[in-house]
Amino acid sequence: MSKIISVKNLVKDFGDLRAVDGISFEVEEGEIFGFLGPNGAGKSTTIKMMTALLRPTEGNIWIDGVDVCSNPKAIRSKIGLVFQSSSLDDRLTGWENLKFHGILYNMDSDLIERRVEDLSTNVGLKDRLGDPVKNYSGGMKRRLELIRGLLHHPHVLFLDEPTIGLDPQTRRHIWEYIIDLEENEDISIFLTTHYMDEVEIARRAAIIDEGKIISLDKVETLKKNLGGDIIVLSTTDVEHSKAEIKEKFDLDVEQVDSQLKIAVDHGDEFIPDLLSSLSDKVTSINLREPTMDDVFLDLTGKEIRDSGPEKTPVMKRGH
Amino acid sequence: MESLRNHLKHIGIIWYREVLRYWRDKARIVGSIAMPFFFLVIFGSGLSSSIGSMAGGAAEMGLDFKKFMFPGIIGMTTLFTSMFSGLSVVRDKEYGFLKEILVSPADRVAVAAGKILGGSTVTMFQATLIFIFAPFVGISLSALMLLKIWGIIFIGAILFTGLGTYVGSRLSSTEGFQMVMNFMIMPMFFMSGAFFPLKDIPNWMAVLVRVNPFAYLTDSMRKVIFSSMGLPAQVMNNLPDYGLGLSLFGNPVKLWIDLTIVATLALITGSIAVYSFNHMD
Repeated sequence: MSKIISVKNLVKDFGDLRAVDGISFEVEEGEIFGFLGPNGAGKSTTIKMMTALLRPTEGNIWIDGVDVCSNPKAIRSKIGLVFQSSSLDDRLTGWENLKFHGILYNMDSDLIERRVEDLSTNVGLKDRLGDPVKNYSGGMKRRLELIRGLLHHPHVLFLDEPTIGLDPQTRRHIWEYIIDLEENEDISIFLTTHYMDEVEIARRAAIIDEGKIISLDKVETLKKNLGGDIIVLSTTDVEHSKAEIKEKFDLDVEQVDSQLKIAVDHGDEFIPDLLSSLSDKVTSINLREPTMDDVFLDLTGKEIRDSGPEKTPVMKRGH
Repeated sequence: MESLRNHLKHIGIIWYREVLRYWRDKARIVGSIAMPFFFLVIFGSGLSSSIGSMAGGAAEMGLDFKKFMFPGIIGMTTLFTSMFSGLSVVRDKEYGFLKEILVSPADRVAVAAGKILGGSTVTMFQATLIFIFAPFVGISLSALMLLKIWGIIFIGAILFTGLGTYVGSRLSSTEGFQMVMNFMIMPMFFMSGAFFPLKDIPNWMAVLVRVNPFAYLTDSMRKVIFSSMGLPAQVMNNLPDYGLGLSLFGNPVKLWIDLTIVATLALITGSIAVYSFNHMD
């Protein structure tokens, strides 16, 4: 696979603050690349530099063969952007917002009309395009922004926190649509998020914290590195149980508040052994697949600072 | 050629959006004629007779305060509307729409030009609305006068839309913008002769009036409108003596000088706005 995005030693200083601290990564053509980190980790700053809205202090960015820093204009029509916060004109109708975009991107009227027809049908907005955007729900606005970002056939779509502030059902719809795009359109997607569950729609992900990439791999691998399953349990004497598990099974046990967390392969087979060998009474036990929360905790020793609003069932990809 | 066509299309769509947003905001259109209406009807009627003492001798020749104020009210509408059109830049920042424009392939020169032309169009429409009060004030309209006035409003609108757009490009909150605007608009408005005749004013103010761009705009409008009112030649030729016109170095300022000054400044503020847009993050 060829590289559609290549970032080398990217640095951004704001006065004394180093917001982005020498990051490098590549995005392969046609993949969804996740960029995961807590608020303030440097995600938005990175996206701004990649989309030529902000000049890097140091480093290089190539997108689709274009050096973004020395040739910002050439990159504009090759990329599409969906911003973290709304960037629609709510006094205009959905159609007018799209038309405005199309003309700014030098599309002719016929093409705009055809493209709007296709895209709006896909996201179920077609019948509402004539309404002023101020009458749209949060989810409709997001969908409108998504299709606006796609209108001019960009090679790379940047999604900056695409489901922030949306309800679980709407988030799921957006995810389905993004996965659908990856499968059916000739497009690469760069997705930033601080929601752990959201990055699971990506094929590969970089985890960023305090301006540095602390891990970069396939999402599957990031999860697998933790050991197959996660077991979380609480007992009547947590300290004692912790020592007991370490001694009997030679496993790392992490204590999170009053719970114990163990990463093991084949957790379902391990639970009976575990239960029969503990001398304290187990008050609760829970088996699950590792989430990006676990990955982040494992890599940085801290929980992600701001996790998702509601727990949404994790999307499964057909890896 | 292709790229020029694209630039023009970009200017056009940005202009169109400004005008469309204005047109959809009916409350703003109605509200915008309220202030001129009150000024003319209440303020102007109340002070109707005092113009005699304010502009000595002019009253006997058929000038009352409403007629005196009318060109100034057109000027005021031009000044306020065009300066405040810079608010659209701040609002676009606050609502995030500016990002959509700035990441697009549109050149920022085209963006700024579209904004300035959009604001100027709205200003021209708004200022033209004031002419519905002309019969009430007792001013008869002619096509020629309207054409001249439109030309003047257009140049003035570019000047002050450029200034407003420049300020808008530098600020990030609508509250801040409104504060700065009041600081800029009020002195220009009061020291222009739009509101009271510039007769027997203190020396310091006489100096400030002469460096006030808006004073030249008001002056040019007054010359055009007064000349269609049939005032005696004695008044028309000596407007500064009655406090009804500007003078520079002891000579009455001619219309073409007013317009040259306004147009030159319009070119400057327009360029500053474009430059500032080009260097905005």
